Amino acid sequence: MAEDASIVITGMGVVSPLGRTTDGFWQALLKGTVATGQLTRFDTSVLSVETGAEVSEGDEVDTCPSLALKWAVEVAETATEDASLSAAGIDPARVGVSFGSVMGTRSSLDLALLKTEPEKPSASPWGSPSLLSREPARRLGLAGPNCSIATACAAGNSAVAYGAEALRRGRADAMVVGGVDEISQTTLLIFDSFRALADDFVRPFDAGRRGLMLGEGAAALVLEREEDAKARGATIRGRVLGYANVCDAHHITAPHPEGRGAIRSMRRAMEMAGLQPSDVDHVNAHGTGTRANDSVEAGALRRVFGQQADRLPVTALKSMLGHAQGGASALEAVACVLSMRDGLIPPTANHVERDPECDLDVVTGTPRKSRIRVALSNAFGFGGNIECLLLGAP
Amino acid sequence: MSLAEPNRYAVTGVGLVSGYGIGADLCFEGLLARERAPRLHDVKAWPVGDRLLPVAGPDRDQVTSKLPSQQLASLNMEARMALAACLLALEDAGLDEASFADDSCGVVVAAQHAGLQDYADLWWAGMRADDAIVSPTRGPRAGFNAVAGYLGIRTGARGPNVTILNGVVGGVDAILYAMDAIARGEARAMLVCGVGFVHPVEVPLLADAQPEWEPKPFDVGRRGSCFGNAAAALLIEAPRRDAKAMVTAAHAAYSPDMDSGASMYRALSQVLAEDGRKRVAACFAGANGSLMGDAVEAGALSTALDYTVPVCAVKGGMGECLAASVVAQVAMATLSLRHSFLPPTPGLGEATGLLRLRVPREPEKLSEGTLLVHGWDAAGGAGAVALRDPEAA
Repeated sequence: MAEDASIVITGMGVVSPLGRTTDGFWQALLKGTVATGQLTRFDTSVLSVETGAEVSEGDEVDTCPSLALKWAVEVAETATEDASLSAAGIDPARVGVSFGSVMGTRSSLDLALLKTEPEKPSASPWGSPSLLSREPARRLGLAGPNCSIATACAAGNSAVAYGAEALRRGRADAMVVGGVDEISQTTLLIFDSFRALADDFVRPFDAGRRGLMLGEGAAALVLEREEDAKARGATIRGRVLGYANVCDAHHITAPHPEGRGAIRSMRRAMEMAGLQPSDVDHVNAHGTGTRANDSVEAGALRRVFGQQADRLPVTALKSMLGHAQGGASALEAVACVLSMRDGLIPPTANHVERDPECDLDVVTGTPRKSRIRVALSNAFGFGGNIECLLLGAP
Repeated sequence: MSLAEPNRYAVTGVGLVSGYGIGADLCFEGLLARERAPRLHDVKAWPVGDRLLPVAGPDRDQVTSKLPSQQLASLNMEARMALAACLLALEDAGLDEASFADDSCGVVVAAQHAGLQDYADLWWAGMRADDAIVSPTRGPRAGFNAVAGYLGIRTGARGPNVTILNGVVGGVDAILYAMDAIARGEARAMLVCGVGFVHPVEVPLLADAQPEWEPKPFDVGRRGSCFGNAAAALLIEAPRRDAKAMVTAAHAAYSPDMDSGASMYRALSQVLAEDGRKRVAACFAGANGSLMGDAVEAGALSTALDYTVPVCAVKGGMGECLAASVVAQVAMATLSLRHSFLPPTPGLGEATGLLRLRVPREPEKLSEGTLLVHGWDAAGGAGAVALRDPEAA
């Protein structure tokens, strides 16, 4: 098995605050639709924050012990259907699943604590974070490599990297990979305790940015070796060209002020792909809208791309989707693939005033037409976890 | 490393914090003496209730005393245990911390419930307490990746940093992740750490499993497992002569049907094939004293291995340490290679003949061959790791 095998994307699925079909999600992004607003799923009266970007679930939410688990199954099913994987005749023992998450099924502990007798708060699926990858595998009958990964808000990209590595090392013939998280009262409390939450809009790279808003959702991609995908006549939607996991090793919540880890991760992902900065056509930024992240990320992009950053289109989808935590980078990977397909970069919403500290070519207002062969998707997380992903056109 | 080279990686240091105390040697000596971990705690259910769960685990003050005081702030007990185990592994490898603070050194943690109690406490403080001010230092501890993040910060390791959430089998995936990172050239050294920790909020659920104070893996009278708190660490590097053991193969498998033992057999047979050596000297099994799990594992082992291969189940002494288990078993296998002895299985009285395994009741001189480590969980996960003496490898 070739370590340098070309890895391609043959299927995708999303559950997002902007819709739960890939096309609906994409069209809403292109329109610059902002999904953040008043949270409705649970009582926010005891919290000092009441906004975020929710996935619409209707009344079903009352009977669902873990939305994260439900969404992981849903996007895995959608992605495998999109890839026509079940009809491909691949041995299910050679198809694996990997999902990344920040809190996984833990959010359901909130409900368990609220609804059940205090002596019995544990009758809930929060006890098994490994379910995030095992439950989709069980439902789909897939018995290949199975792994739930946590690298904080970089976890979606880490799951993609895990899947690509499993294929390159011959441990699997196809991998369903993705990221997922849901908003809970406790995650709101955590981010509020950092004073990291915006109260109106998320404004990545804007001079007036005041913080992030939590979002939620999931996305999955089906990965295969190119030769296998071509042999079965699968539609190739994109490529995984490179990835690099590094640690800032600086602070549990703050990024290194010089973006040391971010710079290394971007450069290593390019090295792995055998590409130069000049080969990158578009950056899907981590862009949370916090003062610290955006200025550090902008500085890191400047260091990596130099003057090229003047004309390198950057977008930050968290302006519309909120920060979907472990789901974020998986959703952003799907958006990158669609950007390459259509030659369109969605705008960064709510960006009105350029910040000299974020001296980047931020796409605003309307989608920008651009031929994109290579897209860089950044993902940074607490604990100094960083995983940048380089994706290519078919 | 090119593809043509065999997949061999050096274990250059081991560290263990367990109910036997602080240090891998203490655990190995206890196992040789067929002693159970002497320290049993009662963990009280949270937030209310009078249920207690017996847990084999280290003395918390002893763990704390092993760490530099400036490293204690912000660390919960599972992070402290993990840090202590990692520092022991670095010391065992003859490395000072400064030499690990590098772009080419990384950390991969296998955890099951890292930060769970902090998460529950946060909810309680925010939603139930009159004063809903939540400390900003508490939030980061509630994430799954908190232990790995703190280990990165405290050791200065700036290479790969990942947390694997794969239950008991997570240790195998963590070892695989480290091997891949070294093979890709992303790291020259990886600390692989497994952490198993029983949180008070889990007690009602775990207590329903009717844990056994005196687990008896593979015994005819086994009635269940006892939970254990532990952190185990390995320093894994590219092959080198002064290694303490060589990892020659690792494989994790999953099957929705745990009862069939399909994933166990797949993991074992894949690892034996990759290892390529015909003779297996011994097997460190994942048996924990459970009626069903031990029987399924015994079936898989007896299918994959010759009856003459001696089997040891360290969980008879350490307890079921969840995500720490496999890493701890590899640490004990490494010490077995170092001392050329296989420990017996604590708690074993009479091995049931139905199991078709040879489970020694006394220490045995280790014969030449591969050492197998096997792990499994009740949700269908299984994994195996093959180790050899560096000279033989």
